Amino acid sequence: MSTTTTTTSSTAAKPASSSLAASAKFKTFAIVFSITAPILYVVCELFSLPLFTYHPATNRFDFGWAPGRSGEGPAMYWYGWTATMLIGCTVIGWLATLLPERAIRAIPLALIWLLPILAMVPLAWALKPFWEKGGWL
Amino acid sequence: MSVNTFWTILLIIHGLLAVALLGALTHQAMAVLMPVRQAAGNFVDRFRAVPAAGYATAVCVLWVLTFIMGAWIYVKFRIYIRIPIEQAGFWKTQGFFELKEHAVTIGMGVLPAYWYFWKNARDPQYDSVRKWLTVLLAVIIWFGFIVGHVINNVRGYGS
Repeated sequence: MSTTTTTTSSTAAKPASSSLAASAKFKTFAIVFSITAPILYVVCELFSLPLFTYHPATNRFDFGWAPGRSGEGPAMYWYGWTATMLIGCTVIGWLATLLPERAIRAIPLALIWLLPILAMVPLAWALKPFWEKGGWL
Repeated sequence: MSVNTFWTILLIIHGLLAVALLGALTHQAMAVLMPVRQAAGNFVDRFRAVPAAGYATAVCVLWVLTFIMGAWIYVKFRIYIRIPIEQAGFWKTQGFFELKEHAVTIGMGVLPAYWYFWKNARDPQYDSVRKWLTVLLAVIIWFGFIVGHVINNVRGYGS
C-alpha cells in the first residue's frame, strides 16, 4: 500500500462557483478579448492609432494622433494606444459572445500566450532608433 | 507636502504594488512549472506549494492597480525623467523602458483569460494555457520590475 502523500494544492481550486467564472459568455468574452489585445495594441502602435494624444506639459488632449507642438513639450501616445486597445477588445469580445459557442471552441487557446510573445517582435523593431542611437547607462 | 515628495510617494506605492505582484506571480509560476507531489519540505518546496488558484484575483487587481499608478507617474516621467535620459544619451535604457510599457499593457490585455482559466482550474483542458499564460505574466512582471528599477537608478527619487 502506498503511503506517499500526494497533494495537488498548488493548482487546486473549487469548481467555478462565481457566476462570471461559470458563464459561457464570459469565457467567450475573456478568450476573444485576450487574443485581440496584443493584435490591436501592435496595430495601434505601428499605424499610430491612439484614441487621443496627451500633451503633459500643457495638460492638453487632442482626439486621435497629433504631433507635439513647438514650445509645448512632448506628445504622449501610450495612453491613447491603451484606450484604443481596451475599447476595441471590449467591443470585439462582446460581439464574439453573439457567435455560436462552437465557433469559439475552434480557436486554439495557445494563441492567448503565443500572440503576446510574437507581438514583442514588431514592437521591439519599432524601437529601432533607440537601439541604434547609443548608450546604456 | 512638496511636489517632489508627492510624486516620490506615488513612485514608492507603484514600486510596492509591483513587489506584491512579483511575489504572487512568482509563487504561481513556480507552482505551475514544478507542482509539488509530496508534502512540502525545504524552502523551495514550500515556495512552490502555495494554493496558486487563490492568487488569481489578487494578481489581476494588483496588475491593474500597479498599471494605474504607473500611468499616473508616467506624466511626470515623460518630462522630468525621459528628457534628461535622452539628453544624457542613454537611448538603449530608454528603449527598454518603452518595451516595458508595451509588455505590461499587453499583459493587462490577457488578464481576463488568465482569471477565467484559474477560476476553472479543475478543468484539465485549460491546464496548458493556464500554465504558459501564468509563466508569461511572471516573465513580463520580472522584466518590468528590473527595467523600472534600473530607470529609477539612472534618474529616480529626488532627481
